[in-house]
Amino acid sequence: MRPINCALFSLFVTSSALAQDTIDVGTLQNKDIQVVQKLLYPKAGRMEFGGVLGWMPFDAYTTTPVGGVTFAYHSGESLGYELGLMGGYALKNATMKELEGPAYGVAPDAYGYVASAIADVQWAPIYAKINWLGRKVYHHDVFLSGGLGATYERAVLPDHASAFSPTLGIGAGARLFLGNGLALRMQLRDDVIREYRAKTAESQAWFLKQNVSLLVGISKFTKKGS
Amino acid sequence: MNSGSDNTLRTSALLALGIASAVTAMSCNRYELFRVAGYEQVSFTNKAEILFVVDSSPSMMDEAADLVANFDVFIQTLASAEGAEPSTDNLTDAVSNYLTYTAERGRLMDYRIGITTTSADFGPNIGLTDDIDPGEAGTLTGDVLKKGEDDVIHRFRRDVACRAACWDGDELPSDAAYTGTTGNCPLPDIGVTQEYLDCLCTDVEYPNETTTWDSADLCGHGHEKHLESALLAMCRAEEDPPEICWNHDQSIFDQEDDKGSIPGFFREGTPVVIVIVTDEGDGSPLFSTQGETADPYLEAFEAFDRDVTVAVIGPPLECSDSTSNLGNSFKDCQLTCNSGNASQLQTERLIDAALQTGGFYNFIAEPDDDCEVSSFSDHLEDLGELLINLQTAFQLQTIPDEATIQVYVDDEPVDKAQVGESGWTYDPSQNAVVFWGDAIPDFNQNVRIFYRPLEGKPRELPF
Repeated sequence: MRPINCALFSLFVTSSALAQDTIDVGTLQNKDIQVVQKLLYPKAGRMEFGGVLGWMPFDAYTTTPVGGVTFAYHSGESLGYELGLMGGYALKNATMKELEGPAYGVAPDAYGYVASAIADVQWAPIYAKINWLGRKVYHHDVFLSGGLGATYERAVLPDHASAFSPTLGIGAGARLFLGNGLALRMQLRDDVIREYRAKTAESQAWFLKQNVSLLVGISKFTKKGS
Repeated sequence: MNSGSDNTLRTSALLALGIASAVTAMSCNRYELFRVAGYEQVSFTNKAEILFVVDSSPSMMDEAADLVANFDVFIQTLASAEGAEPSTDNLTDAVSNYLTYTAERGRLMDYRIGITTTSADFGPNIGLTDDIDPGEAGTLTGDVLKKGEDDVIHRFRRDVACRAACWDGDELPSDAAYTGTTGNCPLPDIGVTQEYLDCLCTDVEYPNETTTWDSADLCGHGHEKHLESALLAMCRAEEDPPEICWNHDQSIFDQEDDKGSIPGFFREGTPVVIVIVTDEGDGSPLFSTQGETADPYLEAFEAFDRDVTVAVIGPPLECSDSTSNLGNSFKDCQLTCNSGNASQLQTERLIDAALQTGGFYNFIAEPDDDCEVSSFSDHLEDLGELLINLQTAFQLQTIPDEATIQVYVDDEPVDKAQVGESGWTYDPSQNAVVFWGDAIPDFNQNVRIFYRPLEGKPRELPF
């Protein structure tokens, strides 16, 4: 620090010509650079409880509003474990209605999402701030998730055949910290399920199905140690 | 680059990969397709529109006489003293009608009947005038007959005998003692006579004063176009007919003037039964010269969004034991009792139309009985049963994998059963699901049948 102090002192006592002298601060390396941002909303050691609402809009024949609750424990700032309990009600979309009508007389053996329970590991490598229009700074994180669980679905055809399926879930999302321990969550999930369909058992019983959902929710962080 | 930048890049890459894999996977879900029959528009109904297409050629005199004489059998099969909807003013009525409903479903059939002829053309040297005469070009020979109206039997007989039939008065029996008077013309025990026709046709207004039931001008010109006449009549009955009506080879349908020109015939979504009575094959213009299937007209009928069933009383086509006229091959079949000089190819079209739509094909003459005219009493009874079966047998569009058939009535599953027990059975000969006992759906209940087609996709889908 001595060279810097000397330089500052020189600013006050010397003429302007002296200010043009170079100052050697040495060589900076990556290890010398530290993140100085204050973690205003730490997660480590805290529980997170949340509720989410969303939609599964991408299936060819159904569209499904979904909702659920999440319980998470964050063992570190970038690592957490979450249990998500979700439910939904699949509706026939316009394509399926048209197919079932007189013009085509065809009914796809579509299965509609009913419920799922999935345990995820959450990795949140990014914590950042956004300056919104120069008016307000928002703190947020970005996370990836992956986990295993089970999904219950029912056939849309009137037999309503049911299927419990092992599920692999992956996802990506972000939390926008609102203060007072609250966070706004946005997440894109893709739950890949291996589904047994009774009506087609003799030709093909097992199908891979993907339930892609867009979720928005609010979560509440507990205080550390509580 | 320093290691901090590397970490950021790696994280960003992982994030992008996750999102990309999710997005690319979005539309991968695959489902087996089932056929579905019985959507709401064609749910079971007690309504049916019956279109008689009567061959008006000279060779049909005996058959026309038999049709006229036996029409009462058909009407009585479907007769209900109370009309189409028996009253259910009180509990006794309701119970009584329920018993009627379960025991004699035909009595609750609410029918409308139209009669046209096989003369799909009009013009000079055709019919009574150069213009379209009643029964020509898909017009009806009279008004639409509705269940519950007075004198349905009398009016049917008059519209057939006085406008759709071709008589040679000298060959008809005479009964000088006949006592019928205008408007009250009982059918003689010996069948149609000259005096009976004199009585029946007295109040018929012909375009020419000299015309009588015996006029040769009432006879068709010998080029029978059964399915074209039926198509034209259906087009005339619709307020908003499909494009096929005016947009097909040799069509004489005027898009503006002819639509809705048979008011009160077709009700919304009601099935249509076309009854063809002829001793000739079909030379309708949509058929190619060597076409033996009825597909061009069945496809045209599909444009109406109605269930169409074709029943034919036509030329006898006898097949050897090794083949069957129930299949698609008529190689070893031969026309017999061919009084109308029917062509086999044209006859096969009519048989095909009946088979494909779940109707029936009855011989108009008896090959085993010196080619005598077959019993129209039996034919009309078959027609009555066909109409009743419209309510209990539900035809499927393609051959199903029988093990996959699922039947629902108002979203409640119906169990498979043995013939005669309560439930449903699959009848391969009709390619239909047939309901039995208590499982027979009530009128206007929503019947849905799901099944996987035995082979392939039902048709190319646009999705």
